[in-house]
Amino acid sequence: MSQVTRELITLQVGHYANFIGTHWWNLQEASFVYSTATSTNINHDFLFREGITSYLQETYTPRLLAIDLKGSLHSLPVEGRLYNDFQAEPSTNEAAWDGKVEFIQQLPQEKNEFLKDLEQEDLKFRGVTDEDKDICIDDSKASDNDVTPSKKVYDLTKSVKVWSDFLRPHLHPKAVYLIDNLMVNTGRASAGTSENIWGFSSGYSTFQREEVEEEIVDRIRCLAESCNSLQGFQILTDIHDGMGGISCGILQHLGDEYGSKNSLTFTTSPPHLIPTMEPARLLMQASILQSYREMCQLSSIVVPLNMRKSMLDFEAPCCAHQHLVLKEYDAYFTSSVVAAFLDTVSLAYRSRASPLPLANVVDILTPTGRKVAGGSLSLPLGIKSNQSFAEWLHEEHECSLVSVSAGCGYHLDPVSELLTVRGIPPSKLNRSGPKYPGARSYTNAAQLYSDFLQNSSKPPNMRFVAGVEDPLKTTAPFPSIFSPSVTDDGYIDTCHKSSVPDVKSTPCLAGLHQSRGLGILLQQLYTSAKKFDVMKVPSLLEEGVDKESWGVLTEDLQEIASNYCSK
Amino acid sequence: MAAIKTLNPKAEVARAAQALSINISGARGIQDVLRTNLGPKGTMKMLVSGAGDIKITKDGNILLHEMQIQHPTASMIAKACTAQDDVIGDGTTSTVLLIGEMLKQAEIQIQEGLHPRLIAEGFDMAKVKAQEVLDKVRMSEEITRERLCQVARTALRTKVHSDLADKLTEVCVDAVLAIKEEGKPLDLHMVEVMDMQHKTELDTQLVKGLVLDHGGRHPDMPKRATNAHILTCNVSMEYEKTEVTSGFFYKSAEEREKLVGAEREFIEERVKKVIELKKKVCTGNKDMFVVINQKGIDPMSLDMLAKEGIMGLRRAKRRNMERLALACGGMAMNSFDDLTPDCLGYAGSVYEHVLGETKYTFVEDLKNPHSVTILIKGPYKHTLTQTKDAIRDGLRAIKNALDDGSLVPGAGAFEVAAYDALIKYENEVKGRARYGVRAFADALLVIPKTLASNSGYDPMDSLVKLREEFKASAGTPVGLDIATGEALNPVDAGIFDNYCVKRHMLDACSVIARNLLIVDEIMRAGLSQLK
Repeated sequence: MSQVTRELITLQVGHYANFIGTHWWNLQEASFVYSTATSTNINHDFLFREGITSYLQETYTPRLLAIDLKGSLHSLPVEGRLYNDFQAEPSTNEAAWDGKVEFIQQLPQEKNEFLKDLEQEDLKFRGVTDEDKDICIDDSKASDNDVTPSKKVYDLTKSVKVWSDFLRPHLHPKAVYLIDNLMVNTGRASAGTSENIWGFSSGYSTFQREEVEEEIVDRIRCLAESCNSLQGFQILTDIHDGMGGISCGILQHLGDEYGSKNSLTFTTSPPHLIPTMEPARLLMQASILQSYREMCQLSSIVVPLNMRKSMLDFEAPCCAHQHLVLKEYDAYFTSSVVAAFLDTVSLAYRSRASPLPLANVVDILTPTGRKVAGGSLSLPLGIKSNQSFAEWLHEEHECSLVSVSAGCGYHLDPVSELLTVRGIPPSKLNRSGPKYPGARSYTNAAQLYSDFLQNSSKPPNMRFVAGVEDPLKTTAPFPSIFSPSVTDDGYIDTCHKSSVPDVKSTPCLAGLHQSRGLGILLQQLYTSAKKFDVMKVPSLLEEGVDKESWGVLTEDLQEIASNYCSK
Repeated sequence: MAAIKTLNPKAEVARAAQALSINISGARGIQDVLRTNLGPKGTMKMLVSGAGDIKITKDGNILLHEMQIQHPTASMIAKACTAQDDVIGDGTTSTVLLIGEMLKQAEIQIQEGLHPRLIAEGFDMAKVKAQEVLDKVRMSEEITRERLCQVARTALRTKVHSDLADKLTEVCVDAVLAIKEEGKPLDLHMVEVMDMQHKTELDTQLVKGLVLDHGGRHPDMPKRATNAHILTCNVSMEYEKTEVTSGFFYKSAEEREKLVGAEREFIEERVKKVIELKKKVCTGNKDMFVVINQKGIDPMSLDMLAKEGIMGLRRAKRRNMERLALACGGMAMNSFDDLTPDCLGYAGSVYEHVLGETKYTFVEDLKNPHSVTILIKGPYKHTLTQTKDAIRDGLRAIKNALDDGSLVPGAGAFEVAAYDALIKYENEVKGRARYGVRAFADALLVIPKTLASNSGYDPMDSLVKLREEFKASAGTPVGLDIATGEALNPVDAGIFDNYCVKRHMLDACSVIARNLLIVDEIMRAGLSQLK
């Protein structure tokens, strides 16, 4: 059974979701292994698919549909560069027209250093065959020993404006779908601010437009058609704006068409976005509330991802990670942490040895109607250079996991959890001779960790621990978010003082939890929904929300929260 | 000082004349952009984005979508015109031109001291009159295939070059006639539009059947089937957890195995039912069997099907279920419980075509297909898109003609006729509103004028010729011959527009122009951040 490739389709909806997704795909690509000598414990076939271009070049691209607004790609063509025909300068002869042709060209977008190097790398790969530029490399076959961009250190902090500015893998031409702004009922760009907020309802009605729905649905169908045993969908979606409405429409479609497949929804909202105007703030809050209501009903699991300690307060402090230095106002940085969480936690269902079926993940985490689960992350793991995993477990394990779900705690009546530990080589499990001799016999970290938790008999009872040896590869374009005390290979050394932090890889621990902490979070949503006065938010009324429908929403949220009340 | 200033010192306010001039300049600006597009001699625009994405178009609607319009008035006009395109599919450029021109004419009168509201009133009266004229000039004869070709050609020639336009005309008309069923509303969804990136756009063709963008997913499956019996269904042939319960609940490993086994058997049973039916219908002769499923088919089921020589396609488009039933007969099955040979459709040939990583499956040689496919070809992605947009407009033009049951002579004939009628009407109107009527009449002429200037003729010169010809012609329509700059009879030349497009254009223009005219204060404060 473990031989079966149980594919997953990933949907990224919204700009911040795409930031996270981009980091995630970068991390995955970084963990590719090209030679047969080294092995990897990650089965990339779950999330990537093989294809072939019309030039008979093999490709390996994410099973992905990324949805964003028009104009958010900057230098990346919508179709990507992988399958694209070589085109010299576009010429007006191509227009099927016998009259005059007017040529209107925008200035080419400035590319940052990282993208330029990537292009060079592509060129080098193609170099032999022809003189084209901008054409693909074949990721699955590349085995060049050249200095690749991943070995260089970049400072992309300033140059990253949109997610395509640091996207490393090539995407399939059908992977990106841009929604036309004209269809979107956004407010006009106001002087000084760029707060074009659109709400949940306008997102939902945008999805219902025939051309939008048909295109999105058809692309999902194409992805599904290529899967032999599709097990489900991972949806990464923004919920603070209309994108929530769009994913909601998609989830409804998934329910209709792929009823038996599971959907794992990660809801994101950008921590850097702090609305200044009251109406914008209210509309964002309303969108979040509306999104949670719908998504709890439509998807198998909902995992809120938010660095801030509250879902609705946009100025709440961010959760602090002990060994990370975060610029919380920069999407490039914050999204990388979330991506590290996703990459690690998803290993549970996409490891090579014994992947847990997504259905089991759902069963473990959603007992008795509780659909919302929380995420936590420990990055880097915090093992000292001279410490073994066993020692670390006994000494410091307690508080290492930091919430990535709006700061909710997991120690309150925990019900079940799913933990993934990565990047601990067998040599690091236990040192010879010291205090914990029992640990010697283990060959992998997951086993050790699982038994440790079992023996310490901490709740919850339902627990699954997965583990792989591949560490999190944090080379470029992963931002340098580590504090100076982190060494190259991700361990902690307080004496280590490198002026340029250059962490290449790091062990990491991530978990999904089901506990009453989430109930509190949902209770907060319910109370704020109750307090919310729809009549005072004209923009919401304009979108067709009235007092009555808001009342229904409040009741629904209460019901969702009530699943978490202890009997 | 505007009252809002005391409340919100940051507010920007434009009043009266200033507000009007903002609106007028916005409308004129967008008019200028689209002006050169109008008509078969207009300028094609090739847009290259910063990332190198190419878009070739001269369709007003698409251009409006592509341009990042900043000016609030312009974006309001753009949205209104896009709405028009959604409803009827054409006429965006004309609408934008007319709005711009109406405001220009209004501005002249306003500078003379006329109140905008009076002009707006005049616009309303003129619109009613113009619609009367429209009803008079429209030709409510029976719509023949030839007429359909003419109206489609008129629409298509403004989108693609004439060779391709003529080719697409045939394709579109045949497609619509194939799916047209007496007594039923025409559903353009039954024309599937599929694109293949190879050859040239002139290889675009009508397939009297269906083309699916996927194929069999098993190496041993037949790639070609003749005399094919087709089973369309929406039944999962995939082993997975059941659709009813949310998961397996089991106590021990054996129990789990047992459940898994039962589940697998359940799916196998379904596949066996299909195979049984195949054996029943394909007895001894060369008949073959094809399964087209909206749900998934897993490798094991595919293998079973392949062994029986059955072609199996999974994850078909939802809409293709409906199309298949119309094209090949039979019906889409939602369960295999009562499979009978009557449920099956029939196609003379079904075959696969591979292009890069995409497989196309052609379902052809059908008895009486009520659903067809237009297969677009072209060397580049952007030429495919261009052709696709053109086909969409062509199909809409044909549908509109059939729905209206009448056509309007094109080439500016309606505008010339309406101008003439409005000038006469002006004398009947009492009061200052007549200036509004006058402005409306003058504005209408922007269509023939732009047509002439885009074709390289002197607009005023052509206009004079048209009007003289119209006076002499006593009621027959007179339009502009873009090849010579002289007058012609559009009915003889086979140039027709849709009635509903013109009617909608008149409505949209007068409403928008009127609204823009009577705005006397523009505030930029707060509201912009509201949404």
